[in-house]
Amino acid sequence: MTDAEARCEIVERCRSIGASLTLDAISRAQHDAALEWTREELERGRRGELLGRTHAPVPPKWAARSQSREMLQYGTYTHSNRVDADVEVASMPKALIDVVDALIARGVITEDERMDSCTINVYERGMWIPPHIDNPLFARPFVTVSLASAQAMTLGRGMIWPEGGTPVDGEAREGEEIRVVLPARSAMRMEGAAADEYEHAIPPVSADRISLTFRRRMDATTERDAIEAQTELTERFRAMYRERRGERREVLSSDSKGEKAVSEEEVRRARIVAERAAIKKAREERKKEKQLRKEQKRGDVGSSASMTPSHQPRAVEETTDTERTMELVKKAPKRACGVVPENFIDAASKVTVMPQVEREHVQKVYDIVAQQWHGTRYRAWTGVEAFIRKQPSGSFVADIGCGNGKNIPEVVKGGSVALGSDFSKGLIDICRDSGYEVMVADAVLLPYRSNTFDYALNIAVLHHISSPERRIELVKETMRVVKVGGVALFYAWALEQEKGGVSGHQFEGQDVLVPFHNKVKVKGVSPDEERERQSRVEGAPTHGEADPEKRSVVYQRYCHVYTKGELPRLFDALPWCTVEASYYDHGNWCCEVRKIV
Amino acid sequence: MRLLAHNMLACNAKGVVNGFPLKIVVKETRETETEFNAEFLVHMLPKMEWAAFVNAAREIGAGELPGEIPDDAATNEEFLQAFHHALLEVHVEEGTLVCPESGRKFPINKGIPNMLLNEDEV
Repeated sequence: MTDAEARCEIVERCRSIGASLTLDAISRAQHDAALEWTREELERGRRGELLGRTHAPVPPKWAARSQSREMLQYGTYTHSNRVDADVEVASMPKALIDVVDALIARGVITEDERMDSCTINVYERGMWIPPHIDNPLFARPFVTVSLASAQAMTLGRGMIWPEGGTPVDGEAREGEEIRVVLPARSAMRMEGAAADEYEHAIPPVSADRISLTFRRRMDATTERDAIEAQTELTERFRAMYRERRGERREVLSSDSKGEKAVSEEEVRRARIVAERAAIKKAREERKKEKQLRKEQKRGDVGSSASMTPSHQPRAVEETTDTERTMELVKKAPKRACGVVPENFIDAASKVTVMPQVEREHVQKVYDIVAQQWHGTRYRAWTGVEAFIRKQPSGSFVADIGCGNGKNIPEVVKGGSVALGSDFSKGLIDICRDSGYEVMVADAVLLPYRSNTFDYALNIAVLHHISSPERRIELVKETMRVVKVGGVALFYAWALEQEKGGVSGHQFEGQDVLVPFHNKVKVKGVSPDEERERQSRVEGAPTHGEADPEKRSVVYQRYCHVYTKGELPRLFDALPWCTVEASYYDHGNWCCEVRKIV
Repeated sequence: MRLLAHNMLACNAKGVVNGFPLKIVVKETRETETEFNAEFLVHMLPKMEWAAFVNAAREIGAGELPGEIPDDAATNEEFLQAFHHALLEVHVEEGTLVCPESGRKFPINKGIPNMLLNEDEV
């Protein structure tokens, strides 16, 4: 199984145990509003202005373990995962009801599942939550909405984390586990085995995070059986994991590496109890549904009541401020680029085999024009710079298709280190002369270990790839080498160009040849002589033509330019990644993509 | 090529299951002074395949490193200096990288590894 297939399987496995992640569950505006409200509410809490124990400050005992978080609670008070009905907290405020409404509108939960309680956890960098099963007095599903940053959640059975310490590199270690990154604006819906059999935990966060966990208290009078069944079930698993942890600790402390898994029999027994509980619960729910239908007939019902939650297709926000104010035109070209002739693009036998068109009209062209190319490209594009600047310092960065290395100084400026690669040896030689750490490698077949780089740059590479399959393979490779939770920036030339834009190119179709004039630098040498000389260089392209007027040798670069929406759609093939932003910048379509599994 | 790059490199030729770590056959090395960045070094530690790194440092003469990352690595100045030197200050200028499984050789010329594969290898 390939790495990508394994990751798809994890996404499927999450869903199959009842943990479904909806990306873009709330809009950017809703996210920002919820974040702002939470910050203001925290201020009120710190000033003692909130009802009862709505605001919980940082308990010193936990603070010592970095585990402690400042909390806000509405609807129901819990402490260390225990419900205490006698403690007074505020009821759900409008700001949070708005979020619940958004979740219903997005189909994350149904109207029936509407939550009446919310716990807000405030994480500062390094804070974490140990493995736990949520209190059974709350109905399933419960939903966690993530704000401010993308952070990991691990699901597992009897995970062991270092006592009170920070697990290495933010990873939970030991035990069977599934790791998923929860991006900002996502909603993680947990029910079934994911809620009752599996523990979940948050490894130390790399940046500030706020989570809103919505739950519904089960009504103690009508659902006693269900509560009892769920309690029994979660208790059983809790006890099992406690026991397992105890044993594991002994094993670990006696310095042996042996591993004792939770036995299949134990899981089977607990599952029987779970199934019984589920049947009971379903019976209760049917009863409730009937009741609701009766009420519906009486006419007092919301329109979304029949909506069932489902995995929603990726919602990509295509518009940015730049785009809204920008005029995309298809007229008035400065330089026209011809559509490639029919049969020009050769279909390679295998996706990883570089087609002739890419070798002759991309790789070899860059090799021969490298010096002149370098002369006019000395710094990263402003959009790329902005992306690099918002990444943490001390990062390890893959610059894939690094060209002459123009992005690397910005990476270094931010206190990070880049490893560059390009398939053009001519360009890589220039990088080496600049002192960068680089190698000659194919972006469709990267010679790197998986899950290593903190982030990756893939700038102006995709528009030289000649088939849809290879484009997907290329983005898959870049995302493969990025760590889970890491992000990559992709830029590719757009079909839609701005009037009077920087490049001034005008494309007649999506697959085009873009001429590059390699100037004749030596006095007294004719373009014809120079073409002759260049054609004798080892590995040179054979299609160069002398241009006496411009005193240059003209080479044709193959480009596939992207239409709006085409770039983010490539990532549909990677359900283990999420497109966090998709926008237009100076003649390019761009995507910021995060690896979530 | 420095060990920073080498520790990430794996042979990805067709049919190779475990192309890591690549053996380094050294012809020529060069040393440079590189700015010490403790934050980056500590951040890199969990990313390293440590046994491969220790072995590679020996292969290219970049010094002896402990067989395991010490518990106090983040604050152990002496260790971090040794790590820094082996990771970032010794360059393999000329040599060969050899796949441990297939024996496929990748040349390093003027400090640049060429990892491109032929059509029949992908």
